[in-house]
Amino acid sequence: MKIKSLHTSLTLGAVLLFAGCHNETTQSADKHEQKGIVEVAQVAKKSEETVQKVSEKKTDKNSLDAHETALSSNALKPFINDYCISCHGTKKQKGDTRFDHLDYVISDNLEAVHYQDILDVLNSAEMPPEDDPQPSKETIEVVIRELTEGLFTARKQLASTGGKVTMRRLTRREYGATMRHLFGLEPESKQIPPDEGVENFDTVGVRQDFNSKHLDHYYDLAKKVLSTSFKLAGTRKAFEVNEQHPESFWNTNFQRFLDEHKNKPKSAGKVYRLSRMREAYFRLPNTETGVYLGEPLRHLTYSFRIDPRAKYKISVKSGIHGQVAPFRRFVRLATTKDEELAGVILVNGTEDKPTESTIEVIPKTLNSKIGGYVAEDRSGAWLSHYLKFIQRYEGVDAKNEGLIWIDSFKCEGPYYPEERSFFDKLLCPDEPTAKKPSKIVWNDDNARELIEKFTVESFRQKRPSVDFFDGLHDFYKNQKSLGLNFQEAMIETLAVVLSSPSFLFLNEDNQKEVTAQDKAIRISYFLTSSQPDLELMTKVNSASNAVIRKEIDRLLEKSDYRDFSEGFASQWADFVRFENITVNPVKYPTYNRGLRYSMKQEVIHFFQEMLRQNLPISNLIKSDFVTVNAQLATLYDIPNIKNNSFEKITLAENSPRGGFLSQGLFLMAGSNGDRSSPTIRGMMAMNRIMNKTVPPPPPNVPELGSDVKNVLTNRELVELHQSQVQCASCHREMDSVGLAFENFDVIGRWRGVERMTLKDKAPVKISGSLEGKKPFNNYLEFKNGLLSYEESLARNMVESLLVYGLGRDIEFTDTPHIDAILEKVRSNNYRIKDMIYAVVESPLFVKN
Amino acid sequence: MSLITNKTTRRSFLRTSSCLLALPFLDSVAGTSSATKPKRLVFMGGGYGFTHAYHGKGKSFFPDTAGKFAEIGLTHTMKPLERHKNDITMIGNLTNLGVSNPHGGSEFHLSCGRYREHESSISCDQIAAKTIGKDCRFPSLVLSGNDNMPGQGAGHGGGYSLSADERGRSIPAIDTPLRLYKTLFAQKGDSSEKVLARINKRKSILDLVHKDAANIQKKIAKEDAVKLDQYFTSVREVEQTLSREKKWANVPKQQASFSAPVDGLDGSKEVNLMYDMMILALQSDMTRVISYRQPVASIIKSLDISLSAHSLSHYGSSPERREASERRDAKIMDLYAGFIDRLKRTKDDDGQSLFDSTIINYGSNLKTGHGTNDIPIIMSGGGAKNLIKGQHIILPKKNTSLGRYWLTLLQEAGVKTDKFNYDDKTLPEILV
Repeated sequence: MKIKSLHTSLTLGAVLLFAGCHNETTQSADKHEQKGIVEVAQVAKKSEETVQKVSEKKTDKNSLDAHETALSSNALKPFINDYCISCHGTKKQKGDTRFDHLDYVISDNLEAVHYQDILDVLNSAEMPPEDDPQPSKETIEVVIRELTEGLFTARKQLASTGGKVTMRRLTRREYGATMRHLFGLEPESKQIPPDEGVENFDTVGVRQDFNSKHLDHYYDLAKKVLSTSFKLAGTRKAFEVNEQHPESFWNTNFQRFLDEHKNKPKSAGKVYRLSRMREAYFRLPNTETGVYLGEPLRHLTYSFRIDPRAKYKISVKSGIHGQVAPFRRFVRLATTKDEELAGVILVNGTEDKPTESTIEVIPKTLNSKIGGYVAEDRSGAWLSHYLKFIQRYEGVDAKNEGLIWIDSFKCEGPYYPEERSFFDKLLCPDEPTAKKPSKIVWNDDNARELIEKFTVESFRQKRPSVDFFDGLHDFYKNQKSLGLNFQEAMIETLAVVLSSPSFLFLNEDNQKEVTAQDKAIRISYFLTSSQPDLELMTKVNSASNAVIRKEIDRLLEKSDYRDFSEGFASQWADFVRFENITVNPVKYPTYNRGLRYSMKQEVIHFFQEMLRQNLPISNLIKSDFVTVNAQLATLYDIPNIKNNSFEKITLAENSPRGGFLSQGLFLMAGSNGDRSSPTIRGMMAMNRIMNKTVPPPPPNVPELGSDVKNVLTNRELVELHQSQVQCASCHREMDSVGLAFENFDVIGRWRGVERMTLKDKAPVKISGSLEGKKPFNNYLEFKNGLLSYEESLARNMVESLLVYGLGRDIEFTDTPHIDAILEKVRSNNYRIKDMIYAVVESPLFVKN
Repeated sequence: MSLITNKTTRRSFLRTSSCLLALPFLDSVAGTSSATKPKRLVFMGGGYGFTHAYHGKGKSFFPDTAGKFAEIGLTHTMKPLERHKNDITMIGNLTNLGVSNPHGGSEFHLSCGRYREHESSISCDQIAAKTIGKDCRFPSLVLSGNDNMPGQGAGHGGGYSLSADERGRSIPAIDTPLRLYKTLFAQKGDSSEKVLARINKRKSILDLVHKDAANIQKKIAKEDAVKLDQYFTSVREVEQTLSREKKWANVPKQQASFSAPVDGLDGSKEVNLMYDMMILALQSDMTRVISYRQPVASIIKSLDISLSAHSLSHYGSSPERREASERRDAKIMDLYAGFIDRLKRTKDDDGQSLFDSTIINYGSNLKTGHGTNDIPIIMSGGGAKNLIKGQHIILPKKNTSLGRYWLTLLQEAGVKTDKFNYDDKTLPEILV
């Protein structure tokens, strides 16, 4: 008999469209010989004398210990009495298992295991034995649901730490932002140690790990950041505009290829084909003034010298050649190979009248160069294949499709931030100019002072002991004596500071309520993902909520709400699940990295807009606006939008868009890349809007539909779930919510017809009902129905903010505080910024 | 002699070279020599399991019946092992009782996780490291492909490797060919003084951060001390490694016979290169115990399959996915077969084939898709003298604890123990 481990992952909907129970998992009588079952009997015997007392004590929910969970025994208890006791009771103990002493309270892991055993045999339809009286389907469904949910709750209870905030390490994101605070630059995020074991929010300390490799990793990375910063200290680059015309390079390149392979016969194969391709390229009209994206040139690479501490503007001048389908008129701009894109640009001009589009780039690199590529935003197939795909699946006439033409691109900058970084100012106090660099004012004589100043700022104003400073200074002197110069020895020394636990961990002094200093650190990491500035450190001492609220506003507005949205919204919306979906490039040829980027940006910008306007939380269900760029507007059929940046667009009445649930990110995360998944969409909507945690799917269930011959619609597939009671217990509600989104395809486009295969299609019909609510017959009615879950959505948001801000999971003891927060924001329709205020003002926020 | 000439290591050098290392370099501290012939253990695994028939529709990776492979034949995706069919053992009905994460094929694979009241504990390779591996430069090598992916990711589950320390914590792995290369081979200009200087510098860094940690410890809450303890443990682990390195600082490492590998090799090339270096490490006796969590995502990518590892595990949703999933299965078996080839051809210092003294295992906690019962286990190698070879064995009891299998292997490798984690019985059914 298998035991579910206690770390069952919360990322449940990952498992797509599960149904049925694995026939092969049916355990035969041999399991009775296994020792776990014997233990049940032993435990039962041991507690025989106390059983009466126990059941009296524990029937009252309020008398439970904090870690105990009472199972709902409405259905379970009568079920056990009717169907199990005859074989597993006082008289008989088949398989050494007896249930006559069950108290329906779970107070430790072993008890949880025993109830899990019961659930497992029910799930595998192994018990009650075939020859014995069978319960009705409805009964089993309720029993399984009660047991599944009860066990899920019990496990959370058992893992409870009593609301203690665990000391935690800076997450990848926070490390980057903290580096930017100190040095004005940050490494590419993949260079920073990744966050391990994230389930809901990366900040949760108990799930973090620290291992021996981290030490070296952090030390080496700190050395890189420090040596870049030393090199740049006191310097400024002059402003310049660098324009590149790619055609001459590529024309030469293509011509050289043609010359080299001039007289190759057709039998030369690839070389012959590539030559013909280049000849065809030269027949295009404007190769002398620009380049065409297609074949042979799919990616146009570029590279510019930069100062990694400054912002740059990159512009692309482009136009379309011939007729180009609307969804093809976008190019994506990448800055490095693997990192997030810099943006997506609408190609709005023509070859005669190219238009210029500009994107701002804040480099995340330690290099003095940024490079990347510009490419049409489509799948990576050969152009001819791609055109075939869009003819087949998008109904485009491939023969008449033209190309995208790039005239030139341009890099402008640097645009330095108003203030130099802490480190730059520390090393070179005089303000530098491009002509006159500022000098480093430190040397051997005052090295210790530099070490101390740097350490105190890096340790977030917590002064370490004198012997730590002594140790650092000795280390510095030792490095010098080994032949290193001032700068080299200082890099080695300061890298030790940045590998110390006082820097890497948010460690709080042991007090019931955190100190003002620690509170400032909490607020700052909550709202900006970085360490507090001096202003916050001073003002946080004020007891006045008004002062603190002003500080909250200031911190959020510093980045126009972006820092907070990127950290929080990306995790609330589950970008990780989204990133893990591989969209079928043949069936959805228009989908690629650019659209992926746009979908993520939409969510971040939507939260930013909600914060800017302090909007009610119900906007996540239904809003009269969207925050989109031209690419998403095209995907969403919103006409006449030409902007490359993400802007607030007011929707036409009765538009199905608006709110988180109509966004591409949510809809695509709720798919398996081939088809939409009502199960995942339902699970995610229930989780976020109705604040219900759906227990993760059990292992060992085969894939839905792997057993079916005919092509089924999603609704028919989902009905397979309902046909088996074991599945129906969880899937009934989840799937019926998810089916309401069937008007959206895998990549979030509106559809009236579901396309199962190229040939098999069926009209989408929406009908269903939310538990205890009026039935709905279309998506808008469904959305309006969801609005009645406003309060549970608000609770979900408050809980999420707390998890993210405190770095710990929510526990039952927090309930009164959460109620109080909700009470505070209810009268004004649960506005999002009000919630942030209330969270910071809650006693929970300063509790240790 | 340079065995690899081109920098990108296009093909495995051991496989293509006509001259195998006839006279192996022997890596040992003077005076250390064992009288008995050493045994070697190699554990491999790769996240998700293999493609299953599902109720007889489609072909299965798993053979239906027990018996000699020479009689029952190999399934279509196991075919690459054809030439080794008399040397492999496949065992059915094993289950890792301590694992229920349907995306966790690698985590706790060698430690069997926690089960009922038992806490998670040390993995079997690390038990072997402490015994048969203790006199080597590296008591064990813990290797991994570099595909740590968030969420359901590559199907490994949490952790960094297949291995776990005494407390059951996942051991960080050497996760690129380049890192393994630098670990195994002498670096340019490295004299023993330089190595010692480097060790000393790292030692003083550790002393400093330790000092800071001790300062924090005085101020923080008891509960946080547990967290800080992870930091202390890490410091101590590095210190232990350093003192071992110090002991070996005067024994020069072998010179690499090929240039350093580049980053970003494609999946099967990466695995082949890791295999080659593993073999060199075994042959020179730098180590006797290796665990290798093979990359998943890059293998799939190298087959020109555009699906993520997790999407591919849901192969039931379309025939194309199923076909891709089967291709991945065959590729993994192809790599495994190649590894066996090279082990058979490589000689140890006695002139015996390495294969004859090595126990090799490939396995996962996941059977297929998201099933955690009856997991795939394919064993090979002459190191396990008493194990039945050339057969598919189906154990009589469903969900027999995987720990019993590890215990059997440990005993075969000469580790004197009669208990492994929560198991104290071996598997007599698989012994001759």
